[in-house]
Amino acid sequence: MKSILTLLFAIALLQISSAQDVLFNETVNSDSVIEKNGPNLKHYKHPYIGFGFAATQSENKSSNVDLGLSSNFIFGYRTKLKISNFYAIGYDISYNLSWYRLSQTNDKRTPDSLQNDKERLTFHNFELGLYNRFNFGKRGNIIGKFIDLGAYADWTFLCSHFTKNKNDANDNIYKTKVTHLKYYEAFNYGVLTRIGINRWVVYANYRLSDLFKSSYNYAELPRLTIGVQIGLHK
Amino acid sequence: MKSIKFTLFLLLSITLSSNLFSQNNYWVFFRDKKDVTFNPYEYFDSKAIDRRISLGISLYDSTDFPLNNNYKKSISSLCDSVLNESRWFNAMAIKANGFQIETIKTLPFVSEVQLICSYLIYSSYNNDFDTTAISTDSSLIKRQTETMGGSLFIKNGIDGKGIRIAIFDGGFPTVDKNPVFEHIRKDNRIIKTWDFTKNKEFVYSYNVHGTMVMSCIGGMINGVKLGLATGAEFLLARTEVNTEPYSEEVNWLAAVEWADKNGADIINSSLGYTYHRYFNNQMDGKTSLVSRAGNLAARKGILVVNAAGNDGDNKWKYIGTPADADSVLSIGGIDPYTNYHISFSSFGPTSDKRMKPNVCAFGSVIVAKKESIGSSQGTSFSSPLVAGFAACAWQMNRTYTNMQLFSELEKSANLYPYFDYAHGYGVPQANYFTNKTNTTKEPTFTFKTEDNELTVNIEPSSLDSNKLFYYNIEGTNGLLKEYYVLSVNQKEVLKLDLSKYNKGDIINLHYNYYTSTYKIK
Repeated sequence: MKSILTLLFAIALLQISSAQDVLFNETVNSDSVIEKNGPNLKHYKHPYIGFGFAATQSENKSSNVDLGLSSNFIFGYRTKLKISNFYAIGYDISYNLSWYRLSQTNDKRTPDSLQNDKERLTFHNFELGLYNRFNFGKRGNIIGKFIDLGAYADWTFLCSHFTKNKNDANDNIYKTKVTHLKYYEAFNYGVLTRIGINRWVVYANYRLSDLFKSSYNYAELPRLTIGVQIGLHK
Repeated sequence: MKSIKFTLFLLLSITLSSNLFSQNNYWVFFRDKKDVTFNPYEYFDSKAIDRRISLGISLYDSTDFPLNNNYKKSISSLCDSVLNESRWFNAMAIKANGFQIETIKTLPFVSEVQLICSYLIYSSYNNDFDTTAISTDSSLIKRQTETMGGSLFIKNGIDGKGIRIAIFDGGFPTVDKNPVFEHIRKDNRIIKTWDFTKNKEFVYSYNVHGTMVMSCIGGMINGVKLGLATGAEFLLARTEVNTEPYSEEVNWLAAVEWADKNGADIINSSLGYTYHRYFNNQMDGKTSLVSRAGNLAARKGILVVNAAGNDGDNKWKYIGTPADADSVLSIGGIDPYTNYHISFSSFGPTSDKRMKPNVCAFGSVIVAKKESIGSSQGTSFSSPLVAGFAACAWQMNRTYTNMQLFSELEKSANLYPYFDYAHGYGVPQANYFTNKTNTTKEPTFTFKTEDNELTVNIEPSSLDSNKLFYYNIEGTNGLLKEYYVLSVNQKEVLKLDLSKYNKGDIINLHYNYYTSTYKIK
């Protein structure tokens, strides 16, 4: 007990003898350095998410999709290098999940002519996009209003074909998922455009390359995707 | 391939044409005020004329002349609508599309066209200030004025009588019936009101922020003053649109001219513009139109008091505009429970390295709300506390010009001549104005240097653990390098290793109204 008291006394004494008890301090020089990272500064990086839909129909009826149910989800990271107040360049790296709900019609031929209750093709991609950004209007350290024009390239690391059918005789539901498909191209590319105000962005991607290998003679799935993105930043 | 080209063409056309046809707001500046007539006795309120005469300011300053009517008609016919006009800047704020603005630019009497950023702008009070916690903490009510020595004004019957204060804010709900303003209404001391966002007289609705601000200037409940200028006259301008804390810069410009015309002696503005439109390095008091307008108002004899801003604890950190203008009295906030910088209060200096804020006051206060008295935080409330104080000081010394008063307010502050970029010169003190015989401050501490170490000792008779010790390191260029606030727990308050600093640097030390300096040799 005595030793504890001695220790407490020593600590108290140390506290009292400490000459300087700083409540508040500021260092001006280091704080005044002009920043280079910011929404309208030299460099800026931020994550973003997006959701879009196939906006046009497939090449022909053999590959038709249900438009409202064919969509894509994006989660990515965007970087920007400001060249001038009007112009910037940048790139995006993203994970892009696209799924196409295939219409079950008599014309259907992709990937086969079988009719299912539900059927879709899903593409898991890593995407690299390069863009030119044209900014409009006077602004401070915010993204502001802009139009992006650029191109993208996708690497499809996983593609699956999903079907779902109900057996009316016994009410069983049969789901199939087929991977390691041979008929899709692992790499594809296209052009992109975006219109945005700060974090709110409307985007359109147009795929220039074919999604299916030419040897399979499948009609191309919708090339145009339109959707919204939200920049995850201030 | 044809369809690709078509799609791209379509997208590009839509975006470009939408830009040309979309409407934006612009300032259109005129080259001159040719052929205009101006009668100051018709235009100005008698109080504005008195102010000009007493300050030796010409009644025929060309910045007060109206805009050329023919120019106005031409612009009006070429744009979609006129938002506002500024005599001071010889400009019209209009709404127009790209084609219209291109035509307007070619007019021979147009000197410049500037796009008005339509982003909503952050006002100077904190997003998360407390609007719910209702408090009847009478101790804080008294301390928010007493920390400035307010009782000395009260004892001498000084309450800002005869001083006209314009308040720019987002709305003034219940000011027309709230008991906190009964003494003002009873004497018809709300002289004029104008809602610049709707162009009408009614301002007693919308955002309660203006009500809270006004209570910190001249509110009183059960005989207890929330602000010191309970006898002042008021001009209430609603300048902020949408829900607080956003605002439009155009309305601020219009309101400042309105305040001048209607005889304002003091303008309190608890808003500021920061990152939406500007960068830190543009906070130089010259770049923004509002800071130039603030300086122009000062040139016309008005004391402009503006909140420093509430960005001290976020990335922006520094003061906004118009608090950056050299003739605008910028007010920082202190914590009533610690008596030093409150975390959110924006820091100086300006980007061109001038000291800001100028002075400070409580940043956590008791205010009048719509139907109650409650607590709130923000430099929005530090600013009106000082505006009310300034009205009292001006009432006592009516011969001061606005800029003399500005300087005297700084000199009256409790840290003066010591300053830093968080507190300015500290909190203004009434005894500076009521006690004319300023006595020399007795030293409250001594210091010595030995082995390149500076040691500061508090005089035993001055030792008070409730007082704070301040010191800063000033470079040879006059710019502070570092500044500190220390608690005083013992006689030996500071030991400083001088080897860290450069030859010629000055160490400024302050404790209990006494300031001393040491130059490093």
